[in-house]
Amino acid sequence: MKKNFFLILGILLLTSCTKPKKKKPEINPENKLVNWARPGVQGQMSGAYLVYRNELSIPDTLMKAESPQANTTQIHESYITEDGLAGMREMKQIIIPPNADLVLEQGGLHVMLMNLKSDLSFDDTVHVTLTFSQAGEKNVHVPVKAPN
Amino acid sequence: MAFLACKPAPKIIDDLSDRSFQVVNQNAEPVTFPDDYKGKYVIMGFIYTHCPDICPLVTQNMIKVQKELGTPDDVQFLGVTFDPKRDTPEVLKEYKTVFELDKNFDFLTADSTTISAFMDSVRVRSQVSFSTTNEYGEKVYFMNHSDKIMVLDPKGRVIFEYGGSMTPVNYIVEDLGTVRR
Ligand SMILES: [Cu+2]
Repeated sequence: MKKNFFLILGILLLTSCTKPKKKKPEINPENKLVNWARPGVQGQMSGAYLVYRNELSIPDTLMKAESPQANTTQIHESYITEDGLAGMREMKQIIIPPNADLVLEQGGLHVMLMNLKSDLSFDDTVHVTLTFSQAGEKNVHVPVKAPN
Repeated sequence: MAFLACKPAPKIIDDLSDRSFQVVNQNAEPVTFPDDYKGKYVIMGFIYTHCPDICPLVTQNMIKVQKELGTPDDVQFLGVTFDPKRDTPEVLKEYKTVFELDKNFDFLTADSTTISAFMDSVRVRSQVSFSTTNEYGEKVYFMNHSDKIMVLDPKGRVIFEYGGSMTPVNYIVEDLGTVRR
């Protein structure tokens, strides 16, 4: 499965705990950081957003995301293509520095849930397992909410 | 009424007033664009409903603009799909419901030929980027696309354009305030 070998080691939205939270400039500042997922229809898709803190004193790497509610789960990044279009691409690995936050938010990174096994409706919970090279498996539960 | 002339006339980016696109809204009601919206300001974004991240931001930004303005009757909001194959009126209706949208907010679709002419006229590009196969053996594709919100004046002329997902809504509200009275 190394056909699209993006292997982008994203250094993304990294906030050290000693500094005040810094804004990623290209993201609309009005979108708050919360854990949530979009409603979706069976067979279609949803996106989940969350913040994960690497509490280790060493860098960690997000290796994969899984969810029992989708047939395919990937970490995606929204980005601007070379010819100026908005697109998204899979991120194979994401490095998180020590004591930094990995931020998955609209317009940046998301857990992409593809081919949903059933509908995701308001107040449902999406279960996501993130696998890190150091911290191992982490289970995250995010509520399905209306955007914003 | 000389004081009205104090507001500088905005630059016309594109004049769509002589165009006439036969489209349908989320209720499958026929709409002629832009004629049916003449007399109103139109804030228009471009989306496809299978888009999980950027397009909802475009929609959310338009919703925020509408709320910020107090849902006025003279400002029409439109989300136009560039994926008419999948975005049927029913799908768009569902999309509208999820966003809990009310009046003066329509989603438009049409046949593929009309949509591609429409998108050409507003300089919106889209292309299939990658696809997966679902458990029914159906191809599910994603698209790269222009990220855009534009403002039309009541005569059907494009007067402002923005990056759709990234532009702070107050820019749009302020620009509109310079021309709307
Ligand atoms: Cu994605």
